[in-house]
Amino acid sequence: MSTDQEQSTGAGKPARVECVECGSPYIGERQAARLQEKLGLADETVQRCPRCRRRQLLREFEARCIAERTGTAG
Amino acid sequence: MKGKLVVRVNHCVGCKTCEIACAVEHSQSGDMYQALQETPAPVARVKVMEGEVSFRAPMQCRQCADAACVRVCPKQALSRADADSPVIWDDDPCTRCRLCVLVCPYGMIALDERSNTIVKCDQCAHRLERDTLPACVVACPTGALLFDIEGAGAAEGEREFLVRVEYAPAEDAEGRAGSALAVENT
Repeated sequence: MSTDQEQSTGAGKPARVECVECGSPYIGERQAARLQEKLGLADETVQRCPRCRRRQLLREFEARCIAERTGTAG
Repeated sequence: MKGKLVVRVNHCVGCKTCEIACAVEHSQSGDMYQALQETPAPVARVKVMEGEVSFRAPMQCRQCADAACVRVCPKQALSRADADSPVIWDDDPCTRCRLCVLVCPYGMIALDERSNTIVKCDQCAHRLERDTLPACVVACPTGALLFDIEGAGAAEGEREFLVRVEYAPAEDAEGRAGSALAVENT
């Protein structure tokens, strides 16, 4: 989980978690930690922004669909 | 009517008819031609996404059994009547804190800036109350979207996208043929 250190120190704003895929700082570091603690969200979930989570889900479906078509599922 | 939305990705041709049907269904007028002129423009709760290798699939809220969005909402703006009901968003108590958007593990909840509303699939709950199938299911021309009606004999685990099911056409409350039953899980 990478954070934007410049933002945390320079502008006095809390550090933000950057999406591991697209790099957008989409959630505050403390907020992410609180949500993880409260809801037990997986690291992989918090590390990605909602848009990239959607893409990740699509990739999973695509892989399963290809496996289904080629008979390599299971 | 209760049930689960089942998507057969192998049947999706990416026509986006479900998107149009969803947007119209959630518009103020409920009519396609009037919806085109509405401001803010109606937003679809389902989105057809394209993969890398000629793959398309309609993506929408998966109505998680233990929904993080419901648990995290400080105002109970997201709720469900019971475990089998879709998660419904209520405008009044919502403060637009976006926590639900942040915690959705599938990225299927969004805040529409233009209308300042939370956009998520509610499985057309207002239609289900009238024993009518969700708009996307009725509109899908290839049967890629099915509604697995509770108690219709489908096995557990059919919320999974790649389930293989037999297709049994049925009529909705308005007399239109729709994709209704998922009867066999192979």
